[in-house]
Amino acid sequence: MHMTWMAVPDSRFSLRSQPATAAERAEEHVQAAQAGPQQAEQPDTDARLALRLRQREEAALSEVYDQHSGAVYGVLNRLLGDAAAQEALQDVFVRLWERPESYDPARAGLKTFLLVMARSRALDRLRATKATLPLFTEDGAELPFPDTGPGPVGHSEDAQRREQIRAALSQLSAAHRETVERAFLVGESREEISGAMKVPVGTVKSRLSYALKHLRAVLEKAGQENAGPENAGLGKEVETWLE
Amino acid sequence: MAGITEPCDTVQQQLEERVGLGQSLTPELRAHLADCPGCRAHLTLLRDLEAALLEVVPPLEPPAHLKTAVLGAARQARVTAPAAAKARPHPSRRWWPLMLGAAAVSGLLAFGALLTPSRGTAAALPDPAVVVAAAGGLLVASNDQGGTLNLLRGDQVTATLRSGGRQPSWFTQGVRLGDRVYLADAANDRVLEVQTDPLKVVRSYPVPDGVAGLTASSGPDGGRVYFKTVRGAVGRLGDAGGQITVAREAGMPLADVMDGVLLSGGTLFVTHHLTGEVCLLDPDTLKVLKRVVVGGAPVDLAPEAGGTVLALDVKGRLLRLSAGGEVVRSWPLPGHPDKLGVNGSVALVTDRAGQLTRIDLVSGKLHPMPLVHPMDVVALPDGTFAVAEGSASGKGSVRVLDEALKTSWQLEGGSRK
Repeated sequence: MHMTWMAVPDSRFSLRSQPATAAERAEEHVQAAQAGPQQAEQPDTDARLALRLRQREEAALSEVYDQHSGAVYGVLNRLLGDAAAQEALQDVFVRLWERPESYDPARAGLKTFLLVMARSRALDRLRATKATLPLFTEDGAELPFPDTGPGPVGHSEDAQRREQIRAALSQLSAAHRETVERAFLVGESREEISGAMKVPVGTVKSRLSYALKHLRAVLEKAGQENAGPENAGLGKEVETWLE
Repeated sequence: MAGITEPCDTVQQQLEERVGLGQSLTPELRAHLADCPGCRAHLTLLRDLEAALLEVVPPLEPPAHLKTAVLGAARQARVTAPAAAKARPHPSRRWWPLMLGAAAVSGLLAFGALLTPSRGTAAALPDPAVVVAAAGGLLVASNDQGGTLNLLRGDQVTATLRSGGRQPSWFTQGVRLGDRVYLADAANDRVLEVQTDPLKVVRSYPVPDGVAGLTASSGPDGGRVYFKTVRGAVGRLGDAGGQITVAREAGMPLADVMDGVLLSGGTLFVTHHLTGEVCLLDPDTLKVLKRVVVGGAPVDLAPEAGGTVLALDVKGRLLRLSAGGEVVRSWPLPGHPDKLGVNGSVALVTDRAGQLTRIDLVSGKLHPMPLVHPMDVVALPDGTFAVAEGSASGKGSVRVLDEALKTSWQLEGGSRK
């Protein structure tokens, strides 16, 4: 009996440009953090936790839970409601425990990783309820970052970019913001959004298109102002990974 | 973006839909991305947007018991062999992911273990998952490493047995037939036939597709046990040639699913939760006589006096079905209950997320009762109910409730409360 989970390999693990394994990078991050106090900031804390998780240190899981369970539960509760969120919360943290190598501190903050995994798990559950799509890969592996997660750039740069996105979203109309949130947070289809907001599907598509164009324009402008043409943000990094 | 080509336009729309819906990318999309910086940048924008939205969802403090459950589950995962860890769902997923790949397991090793049960020390009620009203007591099956079976006489454990198996057992349902109890073990794709006096596993029936539901009925020929597999096949234990299927859809894997099977009024009722149907079969020929779309995801069945049948929809409904399978009444329920027990005019349903609900079938009134992890509920002949409460930490319990939800007694990890 074979599972046919969504079997798309994680491109992050087959990239020629990555010389080290995630575990090796985690150790490098820890060593870098230990080398100087100026680097002992949040990403390195995440790296230490990642390493301790790989070393099967249960206290590390407890710390991760204490730090991030509220944020993860908030997302799950929003997407699934209370009862299913409780179960999904356990799922997220135990999966991190069972597959600590799936988290690469060089690519994302631990909180971001867990939030994306939580959303992925929640949408999987909703799909399972609708009986439309399988959930896992053939070997049961989990793909919290199925394609390209946040890249190997400074986490503060990631955070700045997302802050710019939120600022750009706040410039949109309430209807546009709601449409974007339904699509990219709640995971509703265009048709579901159309039904919920009582507008034609075409309107949903045009709102999303407009919103994304606006975000792109804001980010491009910010990128030009901050770093010059050689800095293409995560897009540049993604390009490197895929080579 | 200026100068965008038609293929890129299409690709970017697909990226938007897939990121929005949390779906992975197709090989075709990946191939395009490998050669297209513009589309890669678009994907990055979408990923950043997703993260930006997630980060501003207000945090919410989870219930305090969940941390204990997470750490307990992690501890359990630590002691599980790698192969078993892959095949067995994490304890928080209290429904067996039925298409999990452990299915090919069978017979010889596991069966050998059954006939000579492990001599290891078995704990009492380590992680109760199924409770069955057996002859003279309760048989409780736990989802621990050894597949522990405990026999309770009153509130005392009188016999304990490790059922063994190639994988750690994952019991999902049990039924009684005379002095035997049949237990569905989803992890090992088998049904165990258990004798209770003395406690002994007497036979293992392999169910290669994984067992999703069971029912038993006595008759002049000694009784039958019907099962449904996760792929939708329905058959009788010990009758290898007599299976039919109620599944019409293509072989879509089913995740986290069980189904109800019930012989009532000379008709075999079988839920097919995937399509929201209840199928009515001839119990002798297994011919499908009728399919009734009841909607939702029906997962359990119980008989009522008068020939009606109660069906539990895990999406939050209790349905009364006529002898012909038609819905004649519906009660909305909170949460996602998946097990049902009925005594007269009182039904109890359990939601593994932490709630038991009493339904007065006359007045329609609902009474919720929070429980940590109710896995199974069974109606007892004296009008009470027994509830199996699981625990990843190895200290589960069995609780007996009267029809007013007052706890008559509770046995937890070997100590009486």
